[in-house]
Amino acid sequence: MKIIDLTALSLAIFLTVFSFLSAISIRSDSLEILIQAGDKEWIYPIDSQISKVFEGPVGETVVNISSGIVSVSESDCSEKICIQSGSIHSGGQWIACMPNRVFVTIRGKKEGELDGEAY
Amino acid sequence: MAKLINKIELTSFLGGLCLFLSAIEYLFPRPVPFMRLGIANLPILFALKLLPFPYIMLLVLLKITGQGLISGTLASYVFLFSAAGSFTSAMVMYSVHKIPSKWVSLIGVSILGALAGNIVQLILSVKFIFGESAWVIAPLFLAIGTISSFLIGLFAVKFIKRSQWIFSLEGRL
Repeated sequence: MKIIDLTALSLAIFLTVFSFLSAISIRSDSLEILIQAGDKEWIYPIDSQISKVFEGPVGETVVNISSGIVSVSESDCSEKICIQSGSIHSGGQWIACMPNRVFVTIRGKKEGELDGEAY
Repeated sequence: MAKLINKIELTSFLGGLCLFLSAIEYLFPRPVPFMRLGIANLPILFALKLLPFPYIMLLVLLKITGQGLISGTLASYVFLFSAAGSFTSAMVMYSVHKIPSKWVSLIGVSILGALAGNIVQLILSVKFIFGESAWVIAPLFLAIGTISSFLIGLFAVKFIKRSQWIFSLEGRL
C-alpha cells in the first residue's frame, strides 16, 4: 500500500461511514413510508394496509404495505430486482425499481407534512 | 497469448474478458441494476498498464455493451447510467495511474475509480431517477464499492506482478 492508496482507502471509508451515520439517524418510533414514482411522491403511515399500483416508464409496479412490512410483489421491469429485494421494515431501508422509476423507503416522520391518507 | 501483440486485438480480448466477468457478476444479487461488484473492471486495470487512452475508452465501451447485453438493459436508460459511471471511473483511473508508481498502486487507482463512478451514479439517480430520498442508497452503494474496488485492486497488483502474459505484453504493443 502506497501513500495515495491509503489516502484513497481512508477517503472511501470516511464517505461510507458518513453516509451510513446520516442514514441511521432516523428515529424508529415515528416512521413513515415514502414512495416515489416518476416525479410524484406518496407518504403512508407505517401501519397502513394497502396494495397499490404505481405507473412508471416501463409499466406498473405493485407495492404492498402490511403491518409495517413493505414489499414489491409485481413489476413490469426486466430484471425484477425490486421483487427479489424482498421486504423492508425498519428506518433507512429501501427498495428501488430503477427501470420503472419507483423508489420505496421507510424514513423518520417529517414535521408539517401530510400523509397519503390525510384529506 | 504471445500472438496478442496488436493493440486492437488486445482490446477485443480484454473486452471479451469483461463480457465473461460481467456474466459472473450477474450471478450475484444486487439491489439496483447499476450496483455491481465491479469485477468486470479488472481488464480495465490491466489495460491501464498496456494500452493507450483511446483503446482504454474503446474497452470501456465494450464493457458496458457486454454488461447491457447480459442484463438486458442495453436498450434502456439504465445503459446511459452505466455508461456515465464507467466512463467517469475509467477517466479517473487513467489520470490517477499517470501519477508516479512510488506514490500510488493499482489499489489506489481502483478505489478512486470506483468512488468517482459511484458518486456520479448516486448524483444521477438522485437528480434524474428517484429524487432526494434516494440518498439512502448511498451507504450500501459506497460500502460495496469500497470493499470490492480494494480487493480488485489488490488482485490486479498481485496478478500483474506474477503474470508472464502481462510481462510478455509490456513494451511490445
